[in-house]
This record gives sequence, structure tokens and C-alpha cells, in this order.
Amino acid sequence: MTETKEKLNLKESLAYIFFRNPVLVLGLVIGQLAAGDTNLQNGAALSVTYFFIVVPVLVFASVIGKKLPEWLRPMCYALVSAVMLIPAYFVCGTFSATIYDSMGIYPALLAVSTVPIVYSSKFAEKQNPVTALMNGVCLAIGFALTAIILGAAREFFGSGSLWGIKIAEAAFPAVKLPFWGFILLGFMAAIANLIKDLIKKPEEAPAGGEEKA
Amino acid sequence: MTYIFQFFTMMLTAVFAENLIFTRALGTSWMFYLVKRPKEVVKYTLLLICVTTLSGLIGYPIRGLVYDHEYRHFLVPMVYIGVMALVYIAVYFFIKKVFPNEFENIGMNLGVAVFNCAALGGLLVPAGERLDLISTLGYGIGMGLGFGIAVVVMGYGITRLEYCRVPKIFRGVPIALIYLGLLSLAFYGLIGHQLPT
Repeated sequence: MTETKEKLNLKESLAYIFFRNPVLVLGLVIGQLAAGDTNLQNGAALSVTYFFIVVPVLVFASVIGKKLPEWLRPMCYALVSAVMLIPAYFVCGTFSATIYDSMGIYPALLAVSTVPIVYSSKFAEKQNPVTALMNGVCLAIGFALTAIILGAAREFFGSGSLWGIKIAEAAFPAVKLPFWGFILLGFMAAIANLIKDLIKKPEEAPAGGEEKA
Repeated sequence: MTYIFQFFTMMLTAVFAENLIFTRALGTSWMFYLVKRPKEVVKYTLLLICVTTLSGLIGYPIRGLVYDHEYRHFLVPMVYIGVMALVYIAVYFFIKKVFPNEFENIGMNLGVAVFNCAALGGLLVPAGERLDLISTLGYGIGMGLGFGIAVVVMGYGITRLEYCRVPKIFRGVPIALIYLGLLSLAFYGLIGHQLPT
């Protein structure tokens, strides 16, 4: 039995940036952002780490995944993710030597998050390497978009600064606590739903609402 | 007697004061998956307890070698993911041999149940706090129990929310996150924390 792998559909890949954003729409990688993404630098470091993990793991799953026994695949993806923490650590170190100290265990947890373990098994294995690469890049951009906005908002309201530069008086230090992370992410997801509705409505109007998402 | 007291104290700390989900925000995606499958909560909670306890036990003598290393930020997770891989292989063959009927159900979900943020977080937290062996075991079991309790509490709330008239843009992920945030705030207050000023 020959199996053809899914070809690149650029529109579907690009949807991972906003319309199928991994955090705000799919509800993935929430904990790391709620607890670890307390300022803009942390947001940037988590985004870089996520990029270094997700892109190689999805390409690995696409190229080698099907050749491995099914029960061994999640383990192999977790091990590849763990190895990819090495380049991520050194790249993040270029913009702050203590960045990984300030985020505690949260960057390491990205290695066993849903995309490298579950998405790679359920989707990336059936895709060709270019599709897997594009999906990985778009998922990482979608994650970075959320992480950077959330980190900047929490740093501004929590410490009155951006990227460590003081620009206002700190008004609300509690915003850096995990429960505020969940609540802010909830409101960001609602705003994303609102924007999606506003974009879709004008597109659907001429077709008489026949087109299904 | 002291060891038993220490074990149960750490277990209760991990269940309530440092709950895996409400306090540490670990394993939320896995929790959202289980919330929709209430019949599987007990099975996967037991599996999580098994993974955190066994991995904690195996990783305990090794962690001293890597925790003070300059590159501990990637060495420690690499070592623990390696240990989890060994536990995964052992659990896979154990379930396949001893519970062949159950293996049909768990099968391919076993990988996801072992390699997730809740399990790795349950190993990295006690390692980071340099807990001794008894405390590490108590903490590992408590984290798994705390995860199970959090899934039940979240599941109950999310089911109730489905019957409420939630504004359209808040339906699904947004309202679930806000509800999780409010529960997390309640736990924060319950254990006696005060908001920073």
C-alpha cells in the first residue's frame, strides 16, 4: 500500500498564526505562558525556545516518524525536543545571560508540550517535510505573537517598564501571578474570537453564508 | 514516624498549597483533554502518579550530578526526559503483559500520558527545591492527586458553564481560561497568600 503525504497548503499553514493560533484558539501551551511569561524578555525567550523545539520536531516526525514503531514515536519526539533545548538556551543567552534563571522550569516544559508530542504524532507524520516545516514556523509565529503581547502587557502593568526600561510607575504588581496570566489569556482569546468574527462576516456576506469554515 | 509525617506533609502540600494546575499552571492542555473524558480521569491520574513517583525515584541519585552544572537549564530536563523514557518503556510492557485488555484502551495514548508538562513539572519542581527522597516521593504522589482533583473541579465547572448564556466571543477557550484563573485565585487566597502591593 503506497501512502501519499499531504502537500503544502499555504493558507492552512498561515492559519496557525491567527485563525488557528495554538494558544488563543487551540488552547495549547497555556501553563508556560500563564506562569512563565511575566515580562517582554521572557516572552521573547519562550518564543525562541518554542521555535527551536517545534520546527525540528515536526520535520523529524514528517521524515522519520512513520519508520519508527508507533509506540516509540512519542518517546523519540520528546528526546529530540529535549536535545533542541541546547541551541535554544545559547540563542536566548545572547539577549540576557540570566533569562533562563528568571523563567524557572517553564522553558524546559515546552519540550513536552502538546505540539511536539501530540501534533507531531497525529498530523506531522502524514505531512511532507515542507508542509511540516511551514506548519512548524507558523505555529511558532502564532505562539510568539501571543507570548510577546502577553509579556509586554504584564511587564507594563506589573512593573511600569518594557524590556527592562522604566517608562511609568508600577500600578498592579499582582498581574505577574499565574491566575492573572490565565485571566488575561482568556480575554485575549475572546478578543481573537471577536476579530475572527469581524473578518469572517464581510467575507461570508456575498456568498450568502454557504461557505463552511 | 518522622518519615511518615514528612511524607504526608509533602503530599498534602503538593495537593493543595502547590497544586499542579491552580498554583503552578502545569499540565493545563492535558487537563482540558481529560475534562471532556471524565471516565478516564482516574486511570490517567494513577498513570501520572506512577510516572512521577518512579521517575522521581530513578532520577533522585542522578540529579545531584547535573543540578549544580553550569548548563543545568538544559541538562536537568534532558536527564529527566531520559528517565521518563525508561519509565515509559517499563510501563508500556508492564501494561501490555499484565493488563492486556486495558492495553487496548490506553495503547497509543500512553505516550501522551507519560510525556506531558504535568509529569515533567512533577519531577522538575522537587528537584529544583532539592527535596530529599521521602519528600520527593510524597510530592510526586501529591502532585498526581492534585492533578486529578483539579481535573474533577474544572470538569464540573466547565459542564455547568455549557448551560449558561455566555457571550458568543467568550464561548470555548476564553471562558474556560477565565474560570481557571478565578479558581487559581481562590486557591491562592485559600493558602493564605496576599496580593503584592
